[in-house]
Amino acid sequence: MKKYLFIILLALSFSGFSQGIKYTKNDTIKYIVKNEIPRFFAGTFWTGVEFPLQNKKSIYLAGIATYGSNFDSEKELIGYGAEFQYRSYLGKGNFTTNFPIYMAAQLMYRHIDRFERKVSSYNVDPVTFVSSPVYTEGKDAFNVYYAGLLIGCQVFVNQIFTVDLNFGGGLRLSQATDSKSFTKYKNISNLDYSGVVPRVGVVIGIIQH
Amino acid sequence: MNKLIFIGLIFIAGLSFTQEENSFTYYKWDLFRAAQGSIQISREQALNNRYSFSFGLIGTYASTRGLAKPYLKMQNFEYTEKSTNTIYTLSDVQAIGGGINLQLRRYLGKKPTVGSGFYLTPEVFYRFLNLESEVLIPKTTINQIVNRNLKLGYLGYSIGYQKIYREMLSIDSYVGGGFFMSKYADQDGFTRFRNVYQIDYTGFYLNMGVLIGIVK
Repeated sequence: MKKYLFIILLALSFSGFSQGIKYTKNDTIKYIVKNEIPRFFAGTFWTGVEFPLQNKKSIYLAGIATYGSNFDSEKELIGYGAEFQYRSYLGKGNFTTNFPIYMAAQLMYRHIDRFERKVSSYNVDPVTFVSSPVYTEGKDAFNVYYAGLLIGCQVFVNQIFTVDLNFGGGLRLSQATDSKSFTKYKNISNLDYSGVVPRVGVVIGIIQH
Repeated sequence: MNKLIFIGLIFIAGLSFTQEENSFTYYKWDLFRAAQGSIQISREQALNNRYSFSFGLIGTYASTRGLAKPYLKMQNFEYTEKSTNTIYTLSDVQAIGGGINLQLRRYLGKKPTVGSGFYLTPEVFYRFLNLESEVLIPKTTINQIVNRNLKLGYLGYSIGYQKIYREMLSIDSYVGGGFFMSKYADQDGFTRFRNVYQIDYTGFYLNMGVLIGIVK
């Protein structure tokens, strides 16, 4: 907890010294198209658009598509989802900065179909005694609901693109499609975990004037 | 082989394009592909002050006994032959193939210099590979050669930065992602249950690399 406070204080102190564009100048920005690149490692294409509003507010709408494995070749994930953020950029007056800091409320929904194959037995070659696995395949599906808060910093580079770094946390509730209750006894690293989870994001955006 | 000759002719034909005074042509080599036992040579040519077109040729000649040994050893070429329901594991693999890579680059900024600076591009590539390996015939101690044909496709985007040094050399680094498709000729549908770093993966995929080029 002390670490988080230290990071926030450090970021805020840097923003105080910054000299750059006025954030109000960003009113000339029509929108910023964004992609969360690290999500590709989890077989997910997570892309969205941030629309600036007045008074240093903005909204961010993102679509989520999943197809592939999540570092586990025995599992195949296929799914879709959406994310909404309401952002409030911090600071009083028309301060100038190239890396405005924001706080955001975040809502997210995802649906995942998970295909899993398991070795059910082995065929052993009677001559060479080489064993080959016999697989059986199963499928389950679940819905994930998430609500949380984010603190982030959006770095503007040459008025061309942005690098958006954020962290935060919230409550994730996962529900199997064939169940009425939320999941229990799942590991926090699983997509179908229910509970409070942290969140860290690195998002690249292209500015459209 | 015919495919390779046809693609090569298209590449060479591009050399005769009429060039405007402010146009350029870069020839680039993708360093990341080299570690995968592949050579990718790309040719980028300006279309106007903001856009350029990049056409790349990919050639693969790799084996588990060569430069690409670490990369190929990470793969899992196990497959089930339908007729006998036998699982084969291709361990000592030789991969030969080719492909093309297309990009339409948009250089970013209010007054961009085409060919230099930040750019955004859609990217498409198609590759074909022949995988050859010796495997043990079930219930015997006899080895046989197995050949599998793999088709790979990719549709995505990249954001990158290209820097030109002394009007001679270019360094082009990029990162992006998209959808990667893999299909074996002897199997229905795209591959499944593969890890993202495997050559025959199907799914969303992170794409990044560094290209070194010369300015013509």
